[in-house]
Amino acid sequence: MRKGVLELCVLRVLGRGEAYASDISEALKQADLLVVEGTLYPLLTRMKNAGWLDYRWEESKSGPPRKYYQLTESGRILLDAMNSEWTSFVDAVNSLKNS
Amino acid sequence: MKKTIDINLGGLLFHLDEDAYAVLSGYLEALRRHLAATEGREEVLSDIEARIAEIFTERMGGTRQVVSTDDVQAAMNTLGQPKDFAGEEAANDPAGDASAEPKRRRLYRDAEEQQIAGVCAGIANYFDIDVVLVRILFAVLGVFTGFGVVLYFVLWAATPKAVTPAERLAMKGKPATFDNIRQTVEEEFRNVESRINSKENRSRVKRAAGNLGNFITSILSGFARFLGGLFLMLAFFVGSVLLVAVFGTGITIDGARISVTELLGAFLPAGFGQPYFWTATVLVLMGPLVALVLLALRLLFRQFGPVHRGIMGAALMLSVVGIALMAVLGTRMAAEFREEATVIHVETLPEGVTNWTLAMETQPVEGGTTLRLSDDETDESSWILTDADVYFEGVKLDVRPTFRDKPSLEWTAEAQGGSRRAARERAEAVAFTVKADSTGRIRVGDLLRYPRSDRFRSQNVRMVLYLPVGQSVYLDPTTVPYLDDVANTEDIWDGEMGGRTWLMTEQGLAEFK
Repeated sequence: MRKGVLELCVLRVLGRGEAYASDISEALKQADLLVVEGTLYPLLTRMKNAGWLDYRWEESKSGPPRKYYQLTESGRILLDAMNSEWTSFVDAVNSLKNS
Repeated sequence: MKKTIDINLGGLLFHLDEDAYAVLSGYLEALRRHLAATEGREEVLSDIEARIAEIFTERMGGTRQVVSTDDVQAAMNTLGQPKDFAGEEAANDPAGDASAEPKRRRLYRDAEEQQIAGVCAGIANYFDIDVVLVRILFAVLGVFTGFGVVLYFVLWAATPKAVTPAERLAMKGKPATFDNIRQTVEEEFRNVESRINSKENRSRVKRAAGNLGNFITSILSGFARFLGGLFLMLAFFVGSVLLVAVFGTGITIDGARISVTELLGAFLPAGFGQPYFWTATVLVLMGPLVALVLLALRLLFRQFGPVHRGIMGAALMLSVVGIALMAVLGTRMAAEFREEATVIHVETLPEGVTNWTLAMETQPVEGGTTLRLSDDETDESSWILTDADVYFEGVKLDVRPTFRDKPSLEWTAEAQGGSRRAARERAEAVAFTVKADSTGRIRVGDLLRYPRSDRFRSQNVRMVLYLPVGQSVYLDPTTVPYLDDVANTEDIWDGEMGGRTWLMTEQGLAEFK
């Protein structure tokens, strides 16, 4: 279940602005959504290949050049669609709990 | 002092100590395998390598020079074990995405179908055949050669069990056919192409050479699998032949079929039963056999990882133990030939005879198995084993002068043993028949006999007819193979002495004409 929403979480993190892989994994770890960082790399590559993400290289002082990911136009559209779907999904689930 | 190895990770140079290098390359190799079916694998891998480079750089902090296993371990902890995230990734695959490729099929043990450990079921999954067929094959191999049992245990130890859903998927995944191998090769080729063309991978052009290596490896893997099949068949063949030889009823030496168990029973030292010998033999064979099987499996299934080394080490240890047991046996065996003893028997001869005849008489033996180690008739290499006794052709004849006025007939039984006493007891137990009738005809038994429990310890009999000067002996042609350097004045060799009459003179035996 947690894994299923990972894509949405990545989209949301990047919705706040561009970030590189470690930033994303840090954010997800803090939200307790990710256990190991390795999971993220295949996911990012797949989302990039699907056209939702794009990236640019940036030199780093502490290591090799970093890939900074950002949302593409279709990524933004997907994020909006998934956000509203998620909200209605959560509402639907919560309505069961309260009744 | 430790050696360091330089590596290029994400375009940066690192010095790794040997241990760290071993751990890291094992990790990357495992990743590469686990991501085999993931799209864009090369890109994912280079992202991960870049991340490892970053973790290393952070940890070195510009002060240390050499990356240690701790650093590698830290990077691995951050990124996670390949199993963890490859599994998550597989489970993460959108179910509706039909274009998502199933994982390449791998050999696993199938816990859900298992009778013993799921080896047969796993093989059946791999080759897409009925598990019953595989079980029958193993049962047949197991019963008739025993090799099926060895193979089963090696597979049991070397094959992982399919536990996670991802593993179960991989177990039944895309079959490894020629088409799939070709597809992999083409994928690799496209990867190489795109990498060379893309500007962004400027620092990675060098690695294209490595990827070209992968491309060639992919092509070769087809051959490797073919070779693997060949090796496995060879292992089956060698294993079966060896085990038939070892456990079976007999082997063939110089065209004569002999029973191994009988052979061993006739020679093994007391206290070393056949189980000892078989155990040692099987242990000795274990190393080479397991090595052959593992090599074949590796080529055939491309599945097995470091677990190999453990199994191989264990098998080699067993071989060493087997060799040690054999050495003990060999030493004990040699020790039993250390001392020698003889017992002399004197036979009575009839009075008043001066012209003697020596002839062989075939010893009647009821039943028994014949052991023949050589086809050469003059070699003493043939034993007949009955329930209680062994009959052996170790009989020699000689004719010599005596200065007494009467002839005499003596036979000397000789045997060896671990002590004088043992040798003497064996020599005393040797039975031999020789009969002289009133006409002067001496009939010599062609076989000596000793108790089977004595084992063969060079038991032999040497019979000597002592003749006074003036008496003669006719050597029947049947005696020829048994004559042992009989001295004579004509300088004729034993083979020519048969069928003639010989007279004892002052100078020695002379032909009587």
